[in-house]
Amino acid sequence: MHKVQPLVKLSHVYVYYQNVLAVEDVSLAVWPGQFLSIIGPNGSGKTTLLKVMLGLMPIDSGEIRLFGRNPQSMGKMRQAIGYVPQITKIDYTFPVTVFNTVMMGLFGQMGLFHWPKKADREKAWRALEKMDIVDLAHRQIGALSGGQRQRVFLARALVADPKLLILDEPTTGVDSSTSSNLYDLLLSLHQEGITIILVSHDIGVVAEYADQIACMNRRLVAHGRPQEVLNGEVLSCMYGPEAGLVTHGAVPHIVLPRHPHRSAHLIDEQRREEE
Amino acid sequence: MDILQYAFMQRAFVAALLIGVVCSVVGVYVVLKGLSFIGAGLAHASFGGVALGFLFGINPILSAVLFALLTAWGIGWTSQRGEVKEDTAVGIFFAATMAFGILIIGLLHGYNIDLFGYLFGSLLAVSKSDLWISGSLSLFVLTTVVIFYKELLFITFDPEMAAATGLPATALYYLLLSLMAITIVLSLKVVGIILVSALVIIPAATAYQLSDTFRKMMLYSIFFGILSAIGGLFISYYLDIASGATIVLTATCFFFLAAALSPKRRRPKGLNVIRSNAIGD
Repeated sequence: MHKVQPLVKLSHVYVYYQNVLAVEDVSLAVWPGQFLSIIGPNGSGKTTLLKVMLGLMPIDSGEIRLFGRNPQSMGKMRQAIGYVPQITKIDYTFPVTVFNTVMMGLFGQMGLFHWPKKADREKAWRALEKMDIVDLAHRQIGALSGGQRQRVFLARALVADPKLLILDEPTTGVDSSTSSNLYDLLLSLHQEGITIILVSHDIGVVAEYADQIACMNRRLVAHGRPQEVLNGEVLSCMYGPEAGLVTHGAVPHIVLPRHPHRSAHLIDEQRREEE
Repeated sequence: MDILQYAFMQRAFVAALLIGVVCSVVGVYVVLKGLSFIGAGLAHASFGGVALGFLFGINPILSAVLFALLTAWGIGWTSQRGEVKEDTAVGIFFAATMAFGILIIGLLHGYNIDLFGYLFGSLLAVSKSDLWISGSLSLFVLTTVVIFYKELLFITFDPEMAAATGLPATALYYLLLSLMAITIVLSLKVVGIILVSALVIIPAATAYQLSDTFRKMMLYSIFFGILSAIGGLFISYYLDIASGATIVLTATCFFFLAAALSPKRRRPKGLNVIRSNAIGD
């Protein structure tokens, strides 16, 4: 019988980023059809882990397989992965239109010495249609709202029909109603069968959409379904000892701790002022 | 066009046309990717190569090409390793190669007049062999840009995503540095080491003021590159002033004109769109 293969498989992966251990002993598998969200505080190695998965950074030890291959030598298999970078990192003064930005998603597939053909342009139009931004096609990318920018880069990631979609903090710098639009969009893509890996620091929202959560704090603190993972123990490991979880309705919320040290410190300071 | 009856003026005209096109094409990438300082650094580095050419009695342009390529790769390698910031790497190579050139020139007595031409440019002293070398280098640069048009665009706009889609982003970055090095050296004789990076940067920066698509920026840049080079050449001929400096100042005039008239109205327009959308949402 043909065995189902994980799309992403990491075994005991260690990564140093600028001589600092950023990812320590992470083992993780992402199976077809999953919606995995990688969460963790700033500097927890989430983005590093993502870059490793994309083959943008080498690992220092352990093993990583993407579609059964080494991510740094995947060749055309790379087209099976769509990537949405943090939209705040883009230079929006760059003279390029929405349509041409989306076309770029096909450049890797076309190969050297090839110019975009009619079929490629049609693919780009379909991606624009899917993201409902056809009317913006000829606009310069700076002349867009935050939500529209997200859709452009999502369209670029989708244009090559990926099986796996990887997003890095897609909602940074975007207001919350626009963010939930994006998450709904992701959910419908997921229902179409696309596997999604979403890096985020927004636990509450992520718990509502993802079916798998991986909590990173340099190590993989926990991995599993949201209900299993988002317990007090995990959160305290990630955000400090007194962080708690409040569940009302479907969405758990994280409650950050009253910091004992800080209050002690404040009392000290008060005393000093009194003296 | 009675001034074109002189052979030296014909050569100057062709040379100006060549560099007007090549510099402005490569300049688009330089301006958009923020490599202006590398451009200036490479120009100064080629001084070392020119000096080596005089020392060994080979065409200084050829030795300068090799020298500038090695410097470009050195800068790329140092900054890719991330141990030194890119501008620091440029600063080091810039000064070291220039110092190397000065040392060598010190060893050669009596060549200083010719050298002056390389420092400040002498369009009217462009020889037939100079023209052949510049011509073939220009052809090489332009062909490479055409072949790698979409790849160079992608790594200029978003190198990370380019790498993620499987393009050899690092190799393409080195290719771009190499094209810069070659472009700068092939233009040396006309505008001189001191001014050559201006000819790469200014037409593209002018075009940037006026364009909202990449292709427009490329076409406008070429337009302003040719206009500045040919216009500057004619002005310098009639007023009997330094050709390199005249070309650069002509380009600068176009830049300020474009900046003043710029539909960076395009930016306010963009903001309006965002605002109306925010209200619409």
